[in-house]
Amino acid sequence: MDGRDTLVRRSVLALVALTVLAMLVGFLWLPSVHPDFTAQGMWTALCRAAGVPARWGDSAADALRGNSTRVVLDRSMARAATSASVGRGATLALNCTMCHGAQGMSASNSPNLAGQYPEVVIKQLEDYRSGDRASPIMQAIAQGLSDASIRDLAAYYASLPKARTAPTTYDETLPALVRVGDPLRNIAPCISCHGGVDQKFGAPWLEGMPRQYLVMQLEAFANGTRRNDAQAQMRNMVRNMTPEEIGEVATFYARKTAVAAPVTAGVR
Amino acid sequence: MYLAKRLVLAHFWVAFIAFLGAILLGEWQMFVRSPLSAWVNNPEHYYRSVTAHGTVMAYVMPTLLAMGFGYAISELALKRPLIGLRWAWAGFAMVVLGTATAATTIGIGKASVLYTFYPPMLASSAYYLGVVLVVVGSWVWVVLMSINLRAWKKEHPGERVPLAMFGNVAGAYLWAWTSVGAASEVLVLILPASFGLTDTINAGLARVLFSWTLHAIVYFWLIPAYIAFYSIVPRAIGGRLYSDTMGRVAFALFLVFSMPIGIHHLFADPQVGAGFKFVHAVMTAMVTVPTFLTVFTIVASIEIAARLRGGKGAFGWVKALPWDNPVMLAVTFSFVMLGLGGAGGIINMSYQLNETIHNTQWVTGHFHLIFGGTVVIMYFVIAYDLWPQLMDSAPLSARAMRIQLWLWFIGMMILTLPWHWVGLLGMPRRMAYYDYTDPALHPQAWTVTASTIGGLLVVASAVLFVAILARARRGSGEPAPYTFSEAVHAVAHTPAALNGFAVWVTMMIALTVVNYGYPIVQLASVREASVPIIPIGSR
Amino acid sequence: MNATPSHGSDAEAVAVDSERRWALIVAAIIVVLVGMMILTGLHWAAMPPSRVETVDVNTLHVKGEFVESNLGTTLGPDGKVLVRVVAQQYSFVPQCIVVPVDTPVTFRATATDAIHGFVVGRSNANTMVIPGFVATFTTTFPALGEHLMPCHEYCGTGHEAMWARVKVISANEFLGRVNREKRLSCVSG
Repeated sequence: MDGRDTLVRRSVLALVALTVLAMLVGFLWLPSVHPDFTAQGMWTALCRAAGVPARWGDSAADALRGNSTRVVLDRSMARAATSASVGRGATLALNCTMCHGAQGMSASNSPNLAGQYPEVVIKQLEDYRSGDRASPIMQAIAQGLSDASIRDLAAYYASLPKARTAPTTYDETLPALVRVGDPLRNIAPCISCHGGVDQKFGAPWLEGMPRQYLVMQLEAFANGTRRNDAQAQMRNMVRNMTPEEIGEVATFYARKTAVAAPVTAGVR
Repeated sequence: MYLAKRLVLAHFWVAFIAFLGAILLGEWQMFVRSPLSAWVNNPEHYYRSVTAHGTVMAYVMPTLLAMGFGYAISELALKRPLIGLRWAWAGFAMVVLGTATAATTIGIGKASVLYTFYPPMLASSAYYLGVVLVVVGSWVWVVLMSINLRAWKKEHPGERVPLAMFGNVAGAYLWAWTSVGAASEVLVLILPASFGLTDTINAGLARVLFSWTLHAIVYFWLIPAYIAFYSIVPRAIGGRLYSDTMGRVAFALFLVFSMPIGIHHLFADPQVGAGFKFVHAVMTAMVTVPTFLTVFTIVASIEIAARLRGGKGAFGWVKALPWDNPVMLAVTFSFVMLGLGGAGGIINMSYQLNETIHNTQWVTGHFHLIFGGTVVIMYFVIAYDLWPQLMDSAPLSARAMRIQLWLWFIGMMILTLPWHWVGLLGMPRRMAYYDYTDPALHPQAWTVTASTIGGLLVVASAVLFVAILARARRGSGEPAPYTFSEAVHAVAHTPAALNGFAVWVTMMIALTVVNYGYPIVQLASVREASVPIIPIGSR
Repeated sequence: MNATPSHGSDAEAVAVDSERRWALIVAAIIVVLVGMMILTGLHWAAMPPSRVETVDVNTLHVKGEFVESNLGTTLGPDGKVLVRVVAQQYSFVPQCIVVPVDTPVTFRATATDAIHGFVVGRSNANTMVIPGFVATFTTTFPALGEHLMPCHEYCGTGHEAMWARVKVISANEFLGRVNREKRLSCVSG
């Protein structure tokens, strides 16, 4: 049993020594030469080496306010609404039929809202209300809406049958930008956020939207007149698109109307 | 063997068929992102394929191989029928069911999050449940290996545990503890979010928990290969094992040092403190020790074989080696790839050098060379060596095996060396396509073409491998009783600590707690680390 | 590791000797490796993002350091060059970053959604960007020119399109521009 004891004792001692040594070097010696760690004394340096969160930035920046949108998207916005909420939304939506159609399908150049994801409607209405998205008509209308009314409207439009009958899939006929984007111009495929492959929270579905509306919005993103996309999410994509490309993707999505859309089998 | 032949064959066949499927996906990925192909029409298909390839190659194939090999070792080394055969089949069924569930979910595009999960992205729950089932099935194997060893020890008090079984059980314990990291990530963080019980997930903590598994899993993959080094290679080439004790020390060290080093995958992460990064880097250096010991012992054993065959001189003995023996060929290739891959690994483990290659194609090249090269080529040896026993068949064609091994080696080199190179040039990992028309990327294009060609050889080799096994006819021969390598010196005395696991498992758990305890507790308590989930796919 | 020398034949003594020699070689290799890490660590040849700092991912665009108007390259009152970057599906903000040559540049980066990361060309500016945390590191660009800056961690099905650029300009040009523009970037329009 002597052999066992010696081997075990030596192994344990060696491991403890190694660990302690490594910790001394990693937690004390290495940080000691770096002012970022040592500025506030040894104990702070030790905590920082261990990974205790600490402020490192400029505290003056705390006062900065963003100028794009104030809306914080939250998954609770997309939860199923009560039928009472949908009912109240339907009543409120009587004000909207002139542009957005009786069933949320626009006959003019306003966007279709039928079946739109609720968080999309909530975000845009809140942005109109705060002035972060500009439109004389919509800003005026949104001014009069309470938070609850906005939720009700969103619930109502989400409850309407979706306009799109043909979800975008990856068939060969998609324009390249919709399908694969253009990596080195940092244009991501449309279908990786707007449905077809992936649906980013807060991104609207687009199929069947009026072409002119899509072109206007893309141009507004491109020249910066519309900037309620947090952290320039859309502006970054559109900035590098040519007018022809904007026209091409808008045409593609606009063609996917309920009537004209070819019914292709989706992959999912 | 007694009862386990069909069991082992079932494990091996599922492993190798999954392997063949995954390797085809791998080559497809290589091809579609190379300049030989147009951009994949739907980038999601690429990530779907990566998810399937990674899930099979990381979780399914090596697990089934370790399990099957483990059951075989248990009967062949302990010379007694396997205890718990029904449980073993139940474990196998769980792995197969889990694989099928995960594969189906991936196949219909509901799990394109890659096998490393990456929360806050969330796949369909079925994918995670499938992976959990695979792991739980493998835990059955862990328990059975422990029970079988215990029963043998009771019957043979004070006797030395055969080295193959010692390594096998070391691998089982290593896996049991290794899998706890990812298992807790999935059970505590991912599944509740994917079932919709919560809208946020602690992404920083998830990464730390995953790193606990992600590095040590490599040693779980590697242990069957090391068992083969020690207990198959010397016998197969007509030599003796240089040192039995060295093998035990190596397996014990793997137990101690493979877990508490995973944060070296997070050197570039902002959620772990610099102190822990350094400690994990030092421990990573330590985990090279068992590999150095193994290389030394196996090269010495090979030299013994050469001298027994009349080899002379300081280096002249190399000529006397049985070069027409497939095992000789395989172990040589394995060591060459281990040397190259190990050198690359030293760059990865170094706290600072890692900055130049972190998450570039270098890393992908590195683990394909080490795992796909060094380790998988020894999986071939294991299968070839056991096959006549399992099938009661005539010996497999040595010529076909040699061709297969050469193809694998050359293919792996052509696949992985350009891959390393392009990583140094800064090419990022895991992209569905690259725009090679850009002047900055154009010079990198040839490397991807080269790798695609290497991949083609690897595919050919994998097909040949499965064909060789499939061609063996049951009952076509009467193989000699199976033996493991014998040590060159009769082992006079094995220290008791190296005949059991208590010390090493204790050290393994203690060191993991020391190295991971604080970062985990710390991150779990940070409110801002919980971020909104991102369920993938269309709504 | 042969803690229990069992004196048998001469052959075994030879074996023990050679094992001991090999053990020493292995120990030496490890000491050299760890020594290298300590040495470069002491001189901070390259420093990983090592101090842990959290940030509220939900309000990044509403208030604080990472609002859109504060992103890009700045010259601090202490003369330090600081680049603030936000990563999101599927772009970096700013999409095109300007830095001065031969000057220490500190990056501060965070993510709004998934896990991202970036590497700047062939340089060792390389970090993970994890939502909820701020990654900070300092590096120097030794040559003028333009680098690609891809996202290097799988962040969703548009990951392959997430490429930004870094322009390294002369220190004089940088000073001239940064005094005029305050928050520098090379994003067009």
